[in-house]
Amino acid sequence: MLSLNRRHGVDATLGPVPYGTLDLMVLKTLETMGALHGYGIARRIEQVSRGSLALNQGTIYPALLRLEQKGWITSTWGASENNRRARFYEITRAGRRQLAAEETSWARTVETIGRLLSEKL
Amino acid sequence: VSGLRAFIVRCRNLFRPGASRRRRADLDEEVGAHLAALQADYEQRGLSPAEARAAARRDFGGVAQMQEAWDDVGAFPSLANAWRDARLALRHVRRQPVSAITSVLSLGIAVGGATAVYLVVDALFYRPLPVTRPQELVIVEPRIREERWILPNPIYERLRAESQSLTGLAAVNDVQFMRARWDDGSSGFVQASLVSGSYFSVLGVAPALGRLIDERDDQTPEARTCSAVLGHAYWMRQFRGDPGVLGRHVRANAADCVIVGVTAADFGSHLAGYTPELWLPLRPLTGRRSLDNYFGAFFSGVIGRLKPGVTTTEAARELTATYQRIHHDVPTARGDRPIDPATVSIRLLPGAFGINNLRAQFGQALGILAGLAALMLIVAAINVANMGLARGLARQQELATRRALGAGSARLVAQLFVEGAVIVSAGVLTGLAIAALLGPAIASFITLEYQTIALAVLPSLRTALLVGAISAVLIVIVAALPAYRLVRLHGTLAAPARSTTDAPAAQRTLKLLVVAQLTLAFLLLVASGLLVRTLFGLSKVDPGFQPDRVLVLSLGGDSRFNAATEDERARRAALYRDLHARLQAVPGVEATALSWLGLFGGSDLWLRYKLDSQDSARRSARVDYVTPEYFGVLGMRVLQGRTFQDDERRLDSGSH
Repeated sequence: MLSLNRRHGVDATLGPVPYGTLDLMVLKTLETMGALHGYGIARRIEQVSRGSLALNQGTIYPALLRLEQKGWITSTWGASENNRRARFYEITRAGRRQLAAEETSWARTVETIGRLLSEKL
Repeated sequence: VSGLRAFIVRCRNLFRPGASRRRRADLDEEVGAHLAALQADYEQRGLSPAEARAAARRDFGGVAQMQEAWDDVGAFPSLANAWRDARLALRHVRRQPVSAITSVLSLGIAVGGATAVYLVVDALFYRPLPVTRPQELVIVEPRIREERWILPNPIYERLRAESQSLTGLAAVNDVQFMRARWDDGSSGFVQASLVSGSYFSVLGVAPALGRLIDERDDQTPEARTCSAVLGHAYWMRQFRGDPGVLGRHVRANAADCVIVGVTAADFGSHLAGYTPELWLPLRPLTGRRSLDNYFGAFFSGVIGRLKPGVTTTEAARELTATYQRIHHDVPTARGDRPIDPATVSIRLLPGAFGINNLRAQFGQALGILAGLAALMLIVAAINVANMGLARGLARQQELATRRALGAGSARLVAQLFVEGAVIVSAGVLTGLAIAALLGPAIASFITLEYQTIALAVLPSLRTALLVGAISAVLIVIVAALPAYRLVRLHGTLAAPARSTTDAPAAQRTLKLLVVAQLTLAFLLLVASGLLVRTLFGLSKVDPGFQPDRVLVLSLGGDSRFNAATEDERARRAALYRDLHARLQAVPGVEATALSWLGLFGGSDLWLRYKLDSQDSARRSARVDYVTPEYFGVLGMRVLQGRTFQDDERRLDSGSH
């Protein structure tokens, strides 16, 4: 339990990152934005969530490693905006396929839950 | 597929610690860049560098936690935990080295003993001969009313010619000391086996060099020349594996033999642990007179190979019928007691493990030894478990702290278990080292009265499985039980209301263990005391004489004892007296004696005798003719009475 929470960052005042969604968010970000370094990905996710998610930026690094192990993203070293060496991540073809599959399943889940919740009991 | 891919990556990381260090350095750099960028952003928004750094840290979250999570992705978390537990265990070991060393040593000795005994059992009982389809081989053993009986050569040859159920039959005669003289003039005793021409083809053995003895070498008993084959080990030892050995001559008994081949490297013989140095054809080295006589030629063993589809029972029935039918055709020598053929039956024993007298002779002793070894293992395991439990009770505080810090029961059991497992692993490794020394030592006790046996003790898959099973049992007893017991006890310590009921339970376990341990230890002490005495007795077999500094000089010439004429006898007596005197004069010679048979001649002389003129019993004794000095030269002790005196020499030599 402890390690799960730690991985995805919990803050009592903001909504937590739902379990398993960080990988999806990272993949989607990389699909939309092209090659990005870790900081860029974290910034983009925060911007898109408009402050509604409490993301410990550090948690994306284990997620990035996990995605890379699965072959869904690749990385190369390059120079960042402030001229430091940084690793740039890119989505692979397998990653795009995975993203498409997860988007579909996510939409179906949201639809199902939405129907369930809107039902008059 | 992506899951498998991740698994492979993790496995690879496991074996490349260098690469993972590099990746860790990369991560540190990446995180550094991330934090710097974050800080720069905050500074642009007007924060002081210190405030900006603090804000960046806050946004990023715990670096250590992130790194741990990152490590877990790249590896197997449970494995990492086990590694941590193992290191913790080693720390405990360092803190209490005496207790740990005692545990490891007692397990090591017990495991070593058990493994060593099993290595010998394995060599003796579970390793088939390295021949073609060993399960088809049968040992042919005639019986008279369940008593073992001989298989005379004439019967053997008829069985061989007439059997429908065997594809082949081979006879072998082991000669422990065969006098051999090589063409370069060197000579000595070799271990030899005389084999029928069918021997190597029945067993299905291939030559390492040249060819093996076959039917054409074993035709005529009168042949004064013969073919000989070297044992592989002897060839390597004596000739350094030189292929030029083919064609060399060796004089064995009275026959002049030519080396025609060398046996396969893995083939020892038809008997575990017996590796003849010289293989010779049976008939030319036995002689027709012995071969034709019912009581003339004895075999160390007769081996057959069953035809496919024929059972042992069917084959035995057929061979028994044949034996009973042909028995009367075979001439027996000078009025020896006839045998009722109806009482003779042929028994076929499984031959996959060879003509293995060793199994019958040492099976029981090894069984007892194995039982003792098992007992010793149990005692050691209980002993060590006990110590583990005692150590654990002394560590309640530490366990309580760990539990308070959030370690669950499973985690605590895991930690104690890994500690036990570390002890067991060290014990098993020590045990294997001990077994490597002890195994050959035990094997050296296994030997036959008339035959040198050098049982090879080799590791096998079976031994590995056994050691694995032993380790598993030890881990359960030594690691799992105390761990479970302690954590159960400990769980209740956290809830004081129940501690009064459960703490005595651990005490009870402890007491029971102590009682069991003491009982077993006492039994073991007694048993091993007896065992050591037996082994010690075995290792000191008294040959009846003192073999050191004794040299044997053998004379060629007429080997018949009785055939000499009066003149001939006188000439021989003079020759021997002269020889005796001259040998005595050689510097460095302390004493000399003459003997007709010499030492280890491999042949017997039998003499009929009567106790007095009224004695009607048929008595005969094995004899040798010697000079009075014989007993002194060999250092033979006489238990009662005296040996010959010098004035008896005349009578003695006169009778020659």
